[in-house]
Amino acid sequence: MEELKKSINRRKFLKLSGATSAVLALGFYIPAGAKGTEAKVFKLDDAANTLTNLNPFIQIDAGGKVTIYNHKPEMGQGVWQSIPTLIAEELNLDFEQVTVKMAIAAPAYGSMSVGGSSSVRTGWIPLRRMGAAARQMLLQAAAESWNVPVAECTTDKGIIYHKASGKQGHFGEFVDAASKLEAPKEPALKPKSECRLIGKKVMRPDVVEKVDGSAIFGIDVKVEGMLYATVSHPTVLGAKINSIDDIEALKVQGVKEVFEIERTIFGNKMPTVAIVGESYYGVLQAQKRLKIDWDLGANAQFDTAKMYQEMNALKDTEGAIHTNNGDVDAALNNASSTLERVYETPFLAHSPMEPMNITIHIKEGECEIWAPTQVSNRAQQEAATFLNIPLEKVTLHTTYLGGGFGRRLFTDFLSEGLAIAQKVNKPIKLIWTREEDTTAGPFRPGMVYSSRAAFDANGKVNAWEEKVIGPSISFNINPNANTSNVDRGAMECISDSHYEIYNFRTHFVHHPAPVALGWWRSVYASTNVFGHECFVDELAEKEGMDPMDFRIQRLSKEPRFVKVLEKVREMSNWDSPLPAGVGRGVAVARSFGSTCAHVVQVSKGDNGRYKIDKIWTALDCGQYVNPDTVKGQTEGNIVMALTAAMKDPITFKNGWAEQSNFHNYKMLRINECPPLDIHIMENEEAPGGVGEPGFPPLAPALVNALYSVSGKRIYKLPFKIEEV
Amino acid sequence: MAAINLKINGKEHQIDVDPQMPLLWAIRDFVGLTGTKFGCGMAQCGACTIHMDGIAMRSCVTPVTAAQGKEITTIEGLANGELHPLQQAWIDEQVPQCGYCQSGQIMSAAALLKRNSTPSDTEIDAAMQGNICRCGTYDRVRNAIKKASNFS
Repeated sequence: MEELKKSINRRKFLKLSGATSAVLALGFYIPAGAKGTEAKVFKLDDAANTLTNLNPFIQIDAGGKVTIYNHKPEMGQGVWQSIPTLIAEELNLDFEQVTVKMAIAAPAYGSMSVGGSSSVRTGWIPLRRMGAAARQMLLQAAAESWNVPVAECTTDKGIIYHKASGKQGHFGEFVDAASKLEAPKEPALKPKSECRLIGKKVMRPDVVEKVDGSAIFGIDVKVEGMLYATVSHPTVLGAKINSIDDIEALKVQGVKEVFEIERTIFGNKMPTVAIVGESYYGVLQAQKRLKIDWDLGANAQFDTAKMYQEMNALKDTEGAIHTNNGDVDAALNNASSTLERVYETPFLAHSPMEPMNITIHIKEGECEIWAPTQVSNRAQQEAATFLNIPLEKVTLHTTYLGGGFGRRLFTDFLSEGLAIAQKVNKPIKLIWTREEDTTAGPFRPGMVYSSRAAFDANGKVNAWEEKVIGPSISFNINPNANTSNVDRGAMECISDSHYEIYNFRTHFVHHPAPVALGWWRSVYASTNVFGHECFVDELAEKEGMDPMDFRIQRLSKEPRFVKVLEKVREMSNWDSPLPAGVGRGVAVARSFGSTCAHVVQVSKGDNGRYKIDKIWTALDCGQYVNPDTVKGQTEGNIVMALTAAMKDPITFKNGWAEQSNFHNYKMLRINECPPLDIHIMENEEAPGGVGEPGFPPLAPALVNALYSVSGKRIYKLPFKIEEV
Repeated sequence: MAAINLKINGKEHQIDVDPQMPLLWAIRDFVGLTGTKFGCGMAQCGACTIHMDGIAMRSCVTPVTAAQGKEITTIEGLANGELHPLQQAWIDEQVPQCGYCQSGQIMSAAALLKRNSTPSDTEIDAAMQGNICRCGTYDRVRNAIKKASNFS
């Protein structure tokens, strides 16, 4: 019986990993609660007995072919190259020698989530250690076979050498012997000076598939016999469906069924209407003919104009105090002068180019899912729970994601797809329309930020109070949350401002919003830093200081801030005089473990309108994997931040979003994208995040630049540059 | 339903669909070429860009009947034995991030270079402003087009 179980497990593992002959398969298992830095190395023999604990990251077959399983969803942030590189580096391979495959969801991979700019940061040590362990085992096997000291053996590009004897052989020759060795627990990592891949520009293997149309995104998946589905949603929470008139909809040829399902978006449930048919075009036609009588309940009057009035009115309330240093009130009471400002940032939709979609095939007691998701483990778990089947009965393939930006951290479309597939008892592909993507949330919360500063007798700022006023994402997704607490997540970039102003206090003042809310690229850093860094510009002005000098002086104890500021000062020729009609602005922020400064230059064109001439950026993300990916992510952050600053907000009226598609929720286009000059700082610091830190300081640098030349301060995003 | 004949990437296809169906869904769901993408359904984003007799068209708003008797080219048919110079330039410049909009970007750029082999920056911007990239690869799109154009 044990033998049988073992052979079944082994077969299953081979199927899982795609292996057909002897392999050395290595993984690391992160026990629940562990910090994730202790890599345990598995061999195939262990795997047969502890299948559920095994996560094959590396597989080397007898022919020497190396396959690395990437466990992080690729959404454009470059993990398809950066994650396998961490392993390949320690194996001393060229990247072209490695075949990258997407790992099928399994708990033993640890976190298969991508969010918070965390993939390289969390994988930096454990993944490299795994590669180093494999290398050491192969060297050991070769040394024993040649009867030479292991210390005299080296490896380069998949070949093991013993120089003194002239012996050499490829990895595959030693796989069998290596798989019988004990895995080293904490193998040494290569010093930075010896790295051949980490820190170098390496071509991303997914790019080739993305230029010839062969890359498979979730929306491209096809399952034999599948039906197509789409969905209609309300915008506000608490809505109900009074009735559905589907008579006309069902007349569309090939349309099968219209029915109500429940959309689960963390702790919120929303009624949804599903339309299922033989073609996607057919269900789109049916959706247009559908008459749904929504009951929006208590939120039928939800209106952003009113909500912002209410949030503005909260600026003199205390809310919940977070940071509290010194005595802000005493400084304000004794101030020679004070400054008070209020800033607004809008609700936004994520709008990844690939609309939400999922393909699901429920079979007898098992389920196969093709998901463009940022949370492969969670999606697998939720599917198992929904279907009430064991986790391992859910095979979840993570496809390429056509953008994420936080939207695909939500599994609402999975919950819908499961309900639809279960109801129609056929494989289904659910695709949302752009209209649903724009109007149904989750949205970046719209926020108000207020700031007060006190100046001492010498005119120097000596106290600062900051208030973050608005909805909390974590309260929104958890209806049981204690809303009188501080939402610490909402204090990003505020709770530790880094500026040397001793009397310092921050508040969170909660004002809920009755729509689904979500983490949106750089989350609250994207809203907080706008007011924060615009206000710093006014502090500098009131002290009569250059905004760059003021920042460098007040951040003098933060060398990484100072260095990025000095870098953009040099890049932008900050100290050179500007011609009339030209202005520059600066802003800096640390988020997700990295520090970023932008200088934006604007000028008045012949038509009297301002335009952006150029943007200079310095990013300190510590050590990094691929400089070209870091640069690309920063370009992306700048473009997304320009869109958020100057294009459309999401506004609500009578309980519905007023924008619906790219004609009224516009995106920055190529003709509006200024030249970018991005510098990555070189140092030996631990890796920081890359996917988000370029975002937060962009809008304030732009607004500060416009002020320097127009004399007009902007306190509300988005604004129209042609109206400045 | 009607029998529709389409010539896509040099190959004839006969499909039986609603004549009003946009070409996008015919290409993706009936012919089975998925490189052409759905982004908005209203000719706002350019992800669905294909060539019809060499001209860039938004397939999401082009009825399938309008494509009959025309030479349709999709991203899958752009390479001719070897990669189109734009596809190579896209790789060299590492343009794509998520990659979803890139078929449409490349098809718009290919139509541009066909009629203007040495486009200026302004001409590139004018030809490419119908294509949204949410990842923000615009700077690289411009560089890649310049690299593939006769200026290089």
